[in-house]
Amino acid sequence: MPSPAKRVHIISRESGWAVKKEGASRASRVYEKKETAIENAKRLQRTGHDVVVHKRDGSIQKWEKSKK
Amino acid sequence: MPWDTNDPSKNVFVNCPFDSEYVPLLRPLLFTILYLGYNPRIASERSDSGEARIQKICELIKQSQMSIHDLSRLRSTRKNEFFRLNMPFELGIDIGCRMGGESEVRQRKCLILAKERYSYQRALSDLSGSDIKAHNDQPEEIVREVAERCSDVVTPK
Repeated sequence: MPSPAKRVHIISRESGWAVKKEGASRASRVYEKKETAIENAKRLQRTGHDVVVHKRDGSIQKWEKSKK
Repeated sequence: MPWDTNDPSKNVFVNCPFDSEYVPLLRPLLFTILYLGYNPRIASERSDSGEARIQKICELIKQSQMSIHDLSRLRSTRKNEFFRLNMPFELGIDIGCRMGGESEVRQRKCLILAKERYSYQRALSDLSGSDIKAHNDQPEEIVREVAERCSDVVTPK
């Protein structure tokens, strides 16, 4: 049976842009700039995570498949 | 409509609020369904004054192998505001169709969402014991629940 998909989300927070693994209760880290958050989330892409980038209103800007 | 809705196994009936406050959840919900290769079917997908809304909803439910019902807006938020009955009503239609339908209809899957775990029971205790998922009004959590359920039904493209 294939393992369930893992995803990491980049979501807007009052203090910046959070990188949050799906299912985690808290964000791994909050970055001031969205670009920095995406850059860091992409490291997780190589460990089998899809990267889902959200806009400020919660809608999805981009969904990139994992590169594992 | 830009996609083919003739295959019920690819159709997902979406029963949720369509107001501006729900848009931050509706957009990721619809995106996830489309991303995974399914067709979201919603009551507002076509407008025809000659068609009774309830008939349209029943037709959409019958044409869909899966359904998503979001009960997170059951509760009124302002004084003298009515609470919302459309979503539980449509959930009831879906469950009724399943119970009274042919065997293939009975095998249909549904995902019931709420804002918080167990809070819906105050208004809809008949659902006690059902597997209701909470999204906490967070877009990433609605993505997770929808993606997990869609993956359960058919292997994503």
